[in-house]
Amino acid sequence: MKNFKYLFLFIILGTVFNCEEDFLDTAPARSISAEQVAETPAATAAIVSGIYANLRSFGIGNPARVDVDYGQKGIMAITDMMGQDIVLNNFNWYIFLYNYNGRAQTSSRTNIVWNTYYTAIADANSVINALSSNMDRSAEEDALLGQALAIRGFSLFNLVRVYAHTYIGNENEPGIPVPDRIDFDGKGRGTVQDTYDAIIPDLEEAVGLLNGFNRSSKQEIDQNVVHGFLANVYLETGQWQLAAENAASARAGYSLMPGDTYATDGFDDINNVEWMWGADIDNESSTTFISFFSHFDSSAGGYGGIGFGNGFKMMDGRLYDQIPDTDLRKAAWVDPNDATSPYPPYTNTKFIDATGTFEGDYSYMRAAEFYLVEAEAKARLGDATAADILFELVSNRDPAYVKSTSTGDALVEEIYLQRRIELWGEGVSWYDLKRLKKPLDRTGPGSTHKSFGLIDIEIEGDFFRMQIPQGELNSNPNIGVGDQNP
Amino acid sequence: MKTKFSGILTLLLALVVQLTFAQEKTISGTVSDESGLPLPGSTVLVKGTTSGTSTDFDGNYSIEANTGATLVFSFVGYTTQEIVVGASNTINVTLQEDATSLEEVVVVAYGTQKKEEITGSVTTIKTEAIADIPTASVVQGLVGQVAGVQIINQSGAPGADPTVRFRGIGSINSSSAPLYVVDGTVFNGNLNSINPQDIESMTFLKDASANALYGSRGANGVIIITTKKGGKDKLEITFDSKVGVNSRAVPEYDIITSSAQYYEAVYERIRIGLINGGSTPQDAAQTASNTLISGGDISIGYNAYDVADNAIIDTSTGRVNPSANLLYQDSWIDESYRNGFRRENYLSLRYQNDKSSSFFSIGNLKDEGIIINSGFERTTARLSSEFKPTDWLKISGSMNYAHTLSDDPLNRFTSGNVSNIAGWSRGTAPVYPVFSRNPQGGFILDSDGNRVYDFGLTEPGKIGTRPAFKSNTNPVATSLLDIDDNISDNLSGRLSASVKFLKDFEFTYNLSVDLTNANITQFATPIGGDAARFNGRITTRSNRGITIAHQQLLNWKRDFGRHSVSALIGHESNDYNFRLLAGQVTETVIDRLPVLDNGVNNQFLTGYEKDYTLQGVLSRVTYDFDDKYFVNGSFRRDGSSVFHPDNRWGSFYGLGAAWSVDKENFFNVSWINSLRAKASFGQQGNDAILYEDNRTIVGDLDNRNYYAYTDQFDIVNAGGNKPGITFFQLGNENLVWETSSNINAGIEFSLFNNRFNFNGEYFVRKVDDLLFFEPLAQSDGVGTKPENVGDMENKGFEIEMSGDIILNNNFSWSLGVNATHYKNEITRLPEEFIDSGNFRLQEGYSRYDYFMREFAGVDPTNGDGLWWTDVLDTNGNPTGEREQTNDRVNATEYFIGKSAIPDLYGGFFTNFSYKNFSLNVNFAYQIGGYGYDGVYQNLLGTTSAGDNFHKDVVFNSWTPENTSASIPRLDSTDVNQAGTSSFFLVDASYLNLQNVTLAYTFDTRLVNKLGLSSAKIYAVGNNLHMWSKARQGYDPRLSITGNAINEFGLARTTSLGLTLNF
Repeated sequence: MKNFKYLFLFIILGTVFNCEEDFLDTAPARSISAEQVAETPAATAAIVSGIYANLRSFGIGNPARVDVDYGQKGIMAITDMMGQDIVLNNFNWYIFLYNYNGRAQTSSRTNIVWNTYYTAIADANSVINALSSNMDRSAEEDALLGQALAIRGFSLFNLVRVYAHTYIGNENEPGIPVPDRIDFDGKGRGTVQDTYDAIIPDLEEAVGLLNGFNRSSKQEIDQNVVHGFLANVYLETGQWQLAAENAASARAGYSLMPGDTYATDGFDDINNVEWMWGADIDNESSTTFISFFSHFDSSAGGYGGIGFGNGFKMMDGRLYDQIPDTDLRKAAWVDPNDATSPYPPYTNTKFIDATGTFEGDYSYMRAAEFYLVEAEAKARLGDATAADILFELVSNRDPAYVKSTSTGDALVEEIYLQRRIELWGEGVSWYDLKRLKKPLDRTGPGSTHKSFGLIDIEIEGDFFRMQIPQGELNSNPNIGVGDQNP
Repeated sequence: MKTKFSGILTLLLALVVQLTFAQEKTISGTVSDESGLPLPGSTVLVKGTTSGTSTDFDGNYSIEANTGATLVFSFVGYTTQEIVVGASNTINVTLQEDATSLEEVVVVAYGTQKKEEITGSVTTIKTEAIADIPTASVVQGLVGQVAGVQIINQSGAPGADPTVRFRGIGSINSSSAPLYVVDGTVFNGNLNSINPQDIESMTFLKDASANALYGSRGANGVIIITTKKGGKDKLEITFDSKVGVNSRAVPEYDIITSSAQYYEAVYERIRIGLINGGSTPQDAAQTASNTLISGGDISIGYNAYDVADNAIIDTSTGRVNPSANLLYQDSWIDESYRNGFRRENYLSLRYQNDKSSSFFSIGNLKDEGIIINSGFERTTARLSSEFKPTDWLKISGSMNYAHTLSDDPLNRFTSGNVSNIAGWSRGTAPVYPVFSRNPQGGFILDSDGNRVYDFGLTEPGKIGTRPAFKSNTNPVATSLLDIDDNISDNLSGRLSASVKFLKDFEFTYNLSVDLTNANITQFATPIGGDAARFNGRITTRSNRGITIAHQQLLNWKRDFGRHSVSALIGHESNDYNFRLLAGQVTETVIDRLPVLDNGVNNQFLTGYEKDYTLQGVLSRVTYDFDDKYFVNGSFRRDGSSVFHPDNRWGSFYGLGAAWSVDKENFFNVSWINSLRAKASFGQQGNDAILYEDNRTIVGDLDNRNYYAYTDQFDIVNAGGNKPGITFFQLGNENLVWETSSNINAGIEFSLFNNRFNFNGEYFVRKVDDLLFFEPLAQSDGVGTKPENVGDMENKGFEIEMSGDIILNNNFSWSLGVNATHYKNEITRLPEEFIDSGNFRLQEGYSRYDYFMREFAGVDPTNGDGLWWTDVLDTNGNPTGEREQTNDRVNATEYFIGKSAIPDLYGGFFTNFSYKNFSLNVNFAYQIGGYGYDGVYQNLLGTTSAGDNFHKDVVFNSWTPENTSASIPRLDSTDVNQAGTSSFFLVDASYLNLQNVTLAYTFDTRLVNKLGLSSAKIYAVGNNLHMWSKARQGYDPRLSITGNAINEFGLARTTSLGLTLNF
């Protein structure tokens, strides 16, 4: 029969196209799979690099776009905006931090802080779990494990400072979950003590592991940076000697930039001699309008810049007035008597993105901070060299500065003032209010705060803790409504 | 009666003699069936001409014909009879019932079936019914026409695809979209690349016995599209042309449009806020007036009057200073919307002879959207041919090409973004000019004398600076100055060859290719907006998607006396590959030149591929006895690449039975023409797992997770060109498809000579192994884990009814209605509950039961909104009592007792024809169900400077003078008063006049003289009017969850058309 010829032809045709045995085996060619990662020798290093990338990326903290969600530098700004030394010029992206609506469990802002760090912790845990059980690690693997531990400790430290009161006096108050990525059952809050019991061993172990680690760029954490983390942790826990030692170790090898460049530097270049850790932003990594300089550079046409919304970040007049005229740093804020300035009084010109296209670098840690930490710790120890260390920094900034003769609490107060000036806009001011058990005072005499920010908070008042995101309460069986911060 | 009738006949007979001389005479008579019952609606034609008529309700007809002419009598289901006109002027005809002609053929999975063989739930739409409706994509026009199928047009952007849901909710974390099949194989292209006028019919397969053969992909229903093929043995040429106008179908929300009213409203918000904060009324009024333009929380930044900033408001009255003069007034709405022009032309040729048939068509559509600079253009060409060289060999093939160009200014924004032009135009204060003004209110002109767009920035010589959230934006300008073109070339080919052998066997090989090549070009203007700082921004995305499918099908069919058996076995494979390449640059040089080489600062370069393969073996057996009892069973074993190799194969089946009761000897009811009962059961799968987070990008809107069995990571640039790897999604090796188990039972009957038809079906659609993104603690930092851990059930019924109420020579009137009701219930969950936006998933509740803070009214003393909250005991546990609180943030969330799922939905139609006129009217409706009016919520928000308000803010919210208002105090400081709560739920019931078609068919004799075989002119209105209980502006049709967002609203299209047949 003639038609069989055609039949066979079609059957052959039909099967020729269909005989591959692995027809159903496809390999990911967009996102990559766990298998592909496992087969890549440099994967662990790339995962650690990925954590740093996440820490300066947009959108890690909240799935829906919120333009203050740009990682570690963004969270530093989030906490500062809840303090009393920065004034927000007008209703702008930081309004919900400035007016504290963002602390509520329903707000995306509290989610940003929570998710950014818990994402970093989960990624760090994947490295820690893989490497810590490996007994014959290479030096390179030691360094990767050290960085992962440092990231976990640092992230937990920031979280506990946002969602709990300071350590001293609150040791038995609820802390924050310490996840391990071994199971995903959801950890309870534990106590503040429990949290610090996780932070300190992580960081101490990291110090050892990073011994001799020569990083390829300041985007990575090295031993100095971990000493910096530890210095701040011990300052928080009142272990002054350890704080002082770590602070000294942290800044070892770093010098200060010339004082007269403070007001002109722009704080936008990772090559600055003082910078210890940061992010090198370029055309590809720039998150454009959702970036630090968009919000803080008064000259740029970003959210915080002239022309576009005028959402300037200004220094509170009360702090400005405490800066001596001889202080070279004073020029980083607009003199209220300067009629020629295009900006309103007290507007910052400290942060300037020289690239003009939001490609300015991010500073996470500067050596200057550890002069202040060391000085404070020593002042508390009654160590007479405290004033010397303070003098070393401040005389660089203010040629007319005279070495302090104060001691004890008075010297600590003087150091605190220098912290507020030197580190303005660099993410320490709100933590300091909490650590030093000071109230938030925006309404006192001389305040230049705006009507929509006239909030005062008593010492350790409810507003000094963000509420845990509602999503955590709903998803974590070990944290219920009753565990929420008021 | 009888005698009188004879009398008339005698009279008529007398006339016959005379009329024979006049050649043409009037013939009349009755057409009846074998039992003597009249057959109304029978067709009587004079053979070889187009003159004809039909019988009236009593079966009578009258027609003019020459002696010697042949009259052709026909009626559906009866043998056609021809009678030559002789001397008699009366011709009474008895038509014989014809069993074979009743066998209306329906396209089903992998073949066709006689209608009475079908045991499952199938609805067929003949597209003549909708060919005239002016929609770009065929499904868009079918709202309300298919029982059990919800068609939701989520965007009015021309060319946008609708959302289609079969019989309730198919999935939660996987896709719920149905499977499309075009001419026998699964279609994986753009729906809008198919010209609706090329479509012959569409079949909706709704239950297991109908679509189990689609295995792991059939769970959410199947839509089979069959295209037109060659026609008669004479070249048929059809030309159709339509012109029309698109206009806004939904009126705008009742927003403030006058500057004066806006200034007064803002003044009032500041004043109330200050009073609430403890100010005296006098101080509050003064401060409010002083900070209206600058220096306050929600200062506006623009003074549109010729008085000082602090003198706009007369604080004694709270009204605009009577001596102030308005310097300008622009309208964002007027500048953003327009009436769009729509033009569509179509030409088709079809031909058939003994051995081959061909169909060829070309079409062109240009459809301007109602938003400025939006539109859709399409050019299609289709060729389809069939060749039968012998009676055992058949080869057919078709090729469809479509070029589309769409321009949608909303494209760049995430759905519902307030900065898109729809959100901006209603949500932005009317005091802000579209065009820059000088302090006198005059236009600022550029060097060419053109008006300059206002971006709200501080610029010399220009009035005002907009507040932060309103700055550096002008969607009217950017819609016009930017380029946002989406070009797509779609090629779809189908080849089929079949050989009959050994008498009862037929082997068929099908090959199909769907190819889409698309290029998206965006140019963001350097003149203003977010790319101005970077001197313009260019983004290009090119992608190619191709699906190749092979099918080998072997059919066997045999009749043994009264038994009839058929069997099908087959094999199928599908291979999908998608590639994308995209890049972005800034620092551009030439304005509106949207190529990457026109910019120098690289922002990103991205490229990737996706693969998806599927393989299955399938079989079906059908058996019927004596055309009374029908049974069929189908089975498919499917392997899908999206699952782990150990879990990728699954089995799916369907069983169905039908009984034609009317064929039984015992059944003898003369007025019941047919009566059938049917039932089916079976299981299909759903392998379309999605990502938890949206990973779609412009150019790739497919959010399917093709590798859900493994943890997934992205490769990123960790700075300094050092690679980084970031984790983003947990996988699960054990993941399998969701299984949909369907039970369907139905009854259908036709009464009174098929003039009344009814089909009713009860269905249970149970989805097992429902894929969930099981929430892990947020602090675990890994998101969620995909698992098959839930069950859900949809139970309901659907009915379709239609009737010919009047059917006679000149006038006919028919009516039809369909209705669907279902209840959705989650029957198993991995957790006690999972929150999902405004809903909470919990056992015993539906997918879309609202769970949110519950509004309890307004505190008349201070205007605070009140919300219900649990009373807690001393240990912090709920006591079961509840109380009112004005602390919205910490108020308890509740199930509100309202659902987004409607109680009943469907449509109804009525068709009239009178002589040469016909009128078709279609309605769609939904009864019950609640929507969430998020747009209204935005318009009540009064804490963000420069936002426009709904007029309710002014007239219906609490103020110290209006303490009995039902809307809380809306002031400048309190973000919670308009926070998410049950306050914004609205009744989503609606009735929509979906379309109206009025057509006039020209007299055949007249058009014959012009060389035409027929000609028709028609007018169509689409989306003509909606009646709804919700407030003006809210469109309950736009979303399955009822959540109103700032979207491209639906258009009303009115058009005029002309169809010519040669």
